[in-house]
Amino acid sequence: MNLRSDGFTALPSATGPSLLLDSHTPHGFRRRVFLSILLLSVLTSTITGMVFYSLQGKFIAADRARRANTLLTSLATQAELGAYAGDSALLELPIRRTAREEDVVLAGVYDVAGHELDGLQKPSVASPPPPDLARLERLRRDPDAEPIRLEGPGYEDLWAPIVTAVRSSAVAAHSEPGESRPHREVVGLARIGLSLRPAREQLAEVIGTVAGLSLLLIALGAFAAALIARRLSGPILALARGADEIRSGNLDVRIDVATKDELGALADSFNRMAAKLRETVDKLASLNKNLEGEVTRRTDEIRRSAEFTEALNAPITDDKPGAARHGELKNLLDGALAILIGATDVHAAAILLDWQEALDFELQVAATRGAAAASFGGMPTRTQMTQGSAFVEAIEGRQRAIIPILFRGEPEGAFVLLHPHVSQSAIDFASRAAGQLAIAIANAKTFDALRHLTHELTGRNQELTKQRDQLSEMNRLKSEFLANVSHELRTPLNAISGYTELIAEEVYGVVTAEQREALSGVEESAHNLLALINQILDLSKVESGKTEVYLTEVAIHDVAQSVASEAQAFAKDRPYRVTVECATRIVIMTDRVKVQQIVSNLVSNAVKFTDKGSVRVTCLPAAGGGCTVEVRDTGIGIQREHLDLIFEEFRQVDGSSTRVYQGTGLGLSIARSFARILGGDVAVTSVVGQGSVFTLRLPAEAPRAGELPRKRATQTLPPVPSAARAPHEPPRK
Amino acid sequence: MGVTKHLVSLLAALALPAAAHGTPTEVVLVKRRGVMAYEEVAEAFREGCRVQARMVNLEPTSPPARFGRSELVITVGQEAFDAVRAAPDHEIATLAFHGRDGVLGPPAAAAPELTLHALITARPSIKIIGVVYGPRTAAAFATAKEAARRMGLQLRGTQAADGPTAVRALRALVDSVQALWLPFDVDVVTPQLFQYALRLQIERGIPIAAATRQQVHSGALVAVDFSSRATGRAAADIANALLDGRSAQALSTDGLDLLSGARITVNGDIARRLGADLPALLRMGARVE
Repeated sequence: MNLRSDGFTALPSATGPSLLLDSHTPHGFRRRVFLSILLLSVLTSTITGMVFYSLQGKFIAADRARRANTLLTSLATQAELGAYAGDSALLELPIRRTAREEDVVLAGVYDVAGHELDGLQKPSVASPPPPDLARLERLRRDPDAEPIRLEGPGYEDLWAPIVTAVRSSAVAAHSEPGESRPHREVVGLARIGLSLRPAREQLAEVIGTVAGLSLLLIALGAFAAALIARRLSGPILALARGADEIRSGNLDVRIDVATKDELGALADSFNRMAAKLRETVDKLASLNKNLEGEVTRRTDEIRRSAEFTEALNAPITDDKPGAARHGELKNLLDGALAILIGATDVHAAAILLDWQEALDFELQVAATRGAAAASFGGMPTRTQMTQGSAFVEAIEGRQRAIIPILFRGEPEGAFVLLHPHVSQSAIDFASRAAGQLAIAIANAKTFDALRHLTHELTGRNQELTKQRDQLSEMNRLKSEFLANVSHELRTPLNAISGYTELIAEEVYGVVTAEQREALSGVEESAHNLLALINQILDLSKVESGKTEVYLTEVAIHDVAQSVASEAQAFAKDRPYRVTVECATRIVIMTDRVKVQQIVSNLVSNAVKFTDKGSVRVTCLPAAGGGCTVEVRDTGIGIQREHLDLIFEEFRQVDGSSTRVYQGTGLGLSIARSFARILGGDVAVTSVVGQGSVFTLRLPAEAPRAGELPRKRATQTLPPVPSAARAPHEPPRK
Repeated sequence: MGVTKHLVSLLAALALPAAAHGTPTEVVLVKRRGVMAYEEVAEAFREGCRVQARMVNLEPTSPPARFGRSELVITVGQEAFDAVRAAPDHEIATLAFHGRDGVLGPPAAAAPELTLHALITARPSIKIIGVVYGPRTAAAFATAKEAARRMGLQLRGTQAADGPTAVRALRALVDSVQALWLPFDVDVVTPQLFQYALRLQIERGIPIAAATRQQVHSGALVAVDFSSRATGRAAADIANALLDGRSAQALSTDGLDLLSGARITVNGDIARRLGADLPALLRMGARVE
């Protein structure tokens, strides 16, 4: 079908039916093009006319001004002598010549006082007004003054000075021409009246010409607009209709545009596009047909693969004896073989497996379908299997295709297909199935191993449960032992300490100096033993998680001061005092007893290892809330590699039997444990020979331990008041 | 009209010290600056005068000139003469111009016969010659009129007071004359009158006899005058005599040999345009410029 661009008539089509486009097709585009060009034409004509009129008006005005100047200059020049001499006879000729001009209605010459020397006027000018000397004052004085234009009735009243050269007569008589320059002087005024009518007539003529030209241009523009609109819209409408035809499915449409311009090129492109589209649609239909067959085949193949996979993934339960499970695997393989035969369309198929993993590689027939096991021929070698690719052999007038089953590169078995001619698609399907079967076999083996491992783990868990129970019992016995020690040992120790004190106070008689020294030894030993017991009890409670926390508002300064006072008694033989520095009063929410015990342990540790110098306790507020308590000594210091050891239980840097400094080795361990229970920690820095710095960090509010209330929760062990457990506290009576 | 040194005083005048003041010993020369003819007169005077003359150049805005009692004042040109005459000390400089009494100087204009002869040589048909003159040249006109009568010519003159009047007088006169003679009279022969005369010469073919060679260059047909250097030398001779103690009254300028220095200048273009007899003028000794 061809679409004509020149009138939208039908043309016989070379490739299909024709499409009739009549003149009633909407012509919005053509109308817009026509109106746009027409509007442009009108605007252009109007603007051109206005510009032309404006330019002509300016030209006429300029021409009139030039003419006025020329006439004035001419009159002034010719009248110079007459004005100089005041002789009207000498002015007659210049005035008559000037008044002869058609547009000059008035010509006259006046002296500088404004008296008329001579003049002429046309009958149209009744009587020219006398000169306005005030307005002409400049002309009367300035020889170089520009002419003055005044408005007269129907004419322009123009005035110019008449200038003559004035110089000494003697000099003039003795000077060569141009030798001496005279000065100029106004000797009169020249006047002409220039009629306005010629200029108005010229303007009217211009307006008429402009109007006529504009109308002609508009008419030409309208004609051109119609022509252009027709030539533009025709091909475009044809293209639009062609596009509609293509959209409606008619790909045989063709656009016939005879022009060689852009629209012709567009129509050619359109036609080529339509042809290409037709060709593409045909190709797509053909491809679609082939694709449908391929999709059907692939879908069937996928379905069979899925069935094969489903058959292989049938659960193998472990609640059956081994033989039963073995038979179940065989059934599973039989099912897979049935699907394989259905998918590959072969007469018979078999699965060969390496059953006995402990032995050398040896394939055995695991399952067959369609033929007896003997019909599948000899077993392939490991070398053939490890090549990985399927191979086809002729056997008894049929083809035998062997497809290796590999798992991680290792041969696990093979598929064997028997058929007069085994197709490539059958081999491909079997190859994919071989990969799935390899995974299934591996899963089965893994399942067996896992089951075996589970069995072993169950036994071990039972053993561990038994050991845990034993440990729990031992722990309970230890706690019970410690409770007994607490009670049974502290009670007699208190008695020993009390009696020793009574003896030392000579309640039972006079005590000699030697006896007092012995009593002092007893007292100190009892005291140390009691401290050891208390520390062991604390440590035991920490380890068992039964340490209780009492949260109250604690003033750190008070705690530090209290500990320092106690430590001073312990360090009474030291040549220094334990000092406390607290810049501000710091109050935190924590357990006062444990904080006091921590600081006490740190200070007593510092005093113990500091023979001279100083021990200083410094309290500082922490940046994020809470505080730090710094215990700085000038003692022996700690080597770097021992810094972590000192917080271990029962550890002292000098562990020899001949060590100088006594102690249980629990103080620092208990201090750090308590600090961490309170949400803080204890750190240490030290330089050997210069001293150590132990830093206790505590939060603004200690964490509440689980469900522990502020008051005592559960009491598993009798609590020992911190004050009673202070290492340096004198025994109670 | 006989030859007289007082018809038109062109360039120079000598200031005669009053008799009571004794012999002058110094000389001062006053002139307007910038006019070539005046400079040539001054140069020739300085070359001829035995005393180093002091030069005074007048400017349009110059204050009134003052001179010492022993100075002999030499003026060059009408402006210098008017300026010195207006000086407060009149007894030092009594100046001569246009033949006024008590003024001594070389003749500024040639004898009127020469001018009249040049005119009729150029155009022999000329019988009536018009002259516009002022009060200062009235005497000279009378002398010239007499000279013309002797030559068989009619000198028809109109006296005018100033330039505009002179123009009107010339317009009234021109219809009845065959040639014009413009004397050296700065009161009436203004540039406007001269231009009007030139216009008449062109429009009506009336030849003009002017007073200076420069006026010929400006368009007049012919002029008879003295050269600037001759005038300067003549003035120097008079000054030397006065410096020698001779009385001014005893000096006679009639004896000054200026006639040999008179020159006739003709405008060749105008002469050809008017149909003047140029060969006859050349035979008379005229220079065509």
